[in-house]
Amino acid sequence: MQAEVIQSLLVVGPSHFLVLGATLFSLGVLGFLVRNNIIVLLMCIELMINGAGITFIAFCRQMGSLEGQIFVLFVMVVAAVEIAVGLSIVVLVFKNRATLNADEMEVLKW
Amino acid sequence: MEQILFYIAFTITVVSAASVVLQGRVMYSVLSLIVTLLGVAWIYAMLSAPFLAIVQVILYAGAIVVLLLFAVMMLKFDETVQRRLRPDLLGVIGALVALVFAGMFVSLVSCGCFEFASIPADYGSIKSIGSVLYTQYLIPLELASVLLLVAVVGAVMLAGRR
Repeated sequence: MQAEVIQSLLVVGPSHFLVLGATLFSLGVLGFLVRNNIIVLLMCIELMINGAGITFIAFCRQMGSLEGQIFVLFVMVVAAVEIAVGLSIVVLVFKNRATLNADEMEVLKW
Repeated sequence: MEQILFYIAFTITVVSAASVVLQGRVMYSVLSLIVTLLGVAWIYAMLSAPFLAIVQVILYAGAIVVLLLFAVMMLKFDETVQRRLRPDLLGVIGALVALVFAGMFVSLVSCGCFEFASIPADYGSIKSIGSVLYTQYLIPLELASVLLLVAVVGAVMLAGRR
């Protein structure tokens, strides 16, 4: 039993990559909950996107299809857009309120 | 050989991602993010997606991180109030999550229910991706370019406003 587990740990399969993707995603979630700098929050979103991307690629490699790679390509485009627009919003907010602390930005909070 | 490469990439990626989250200073977080993204590119290359690995390095580790660095270095914000880390609470939660992940890792890996499919030799090459992207996914590709255009205009509109 133990020898089997060690053997399966040594032969790299899709599940190894799935675990890595899940780990990256949850590190991103952790950062999103714990940090309050808006730029760091954007970076944590990037971490989550990358975790999801690894999962996509692992599954599409497992099934031998190319669709997952196309999807990750589009996700990268959307991530670039998100960072560009998000950072311009950050710059705008910083101009108006002189802070990057997400806890102090409560104008939209009801 | 493959497992050694995988575990090195795993360690680099996870440690640097944890460093993104846990670093006190934003600048160090951005620098750790570069390492994470390069590790993800390494993983993509291991999963026979070389084109995506290249795009990851150029687009993410190049363009997006440079944008983040610009924002971090241009804005003179107060670093000292940016910490909300509770080390005691974080340790407990981190230990629990690590336990769950260890269980998940062993069970997922030892069940052996996932196997890699056998793939053609040109799987993931630029030619094969391009032939799918420009025929079957042509309309989403055009929509993505429109989205990029809208984002550029929107970013200029937002940040350039007087």
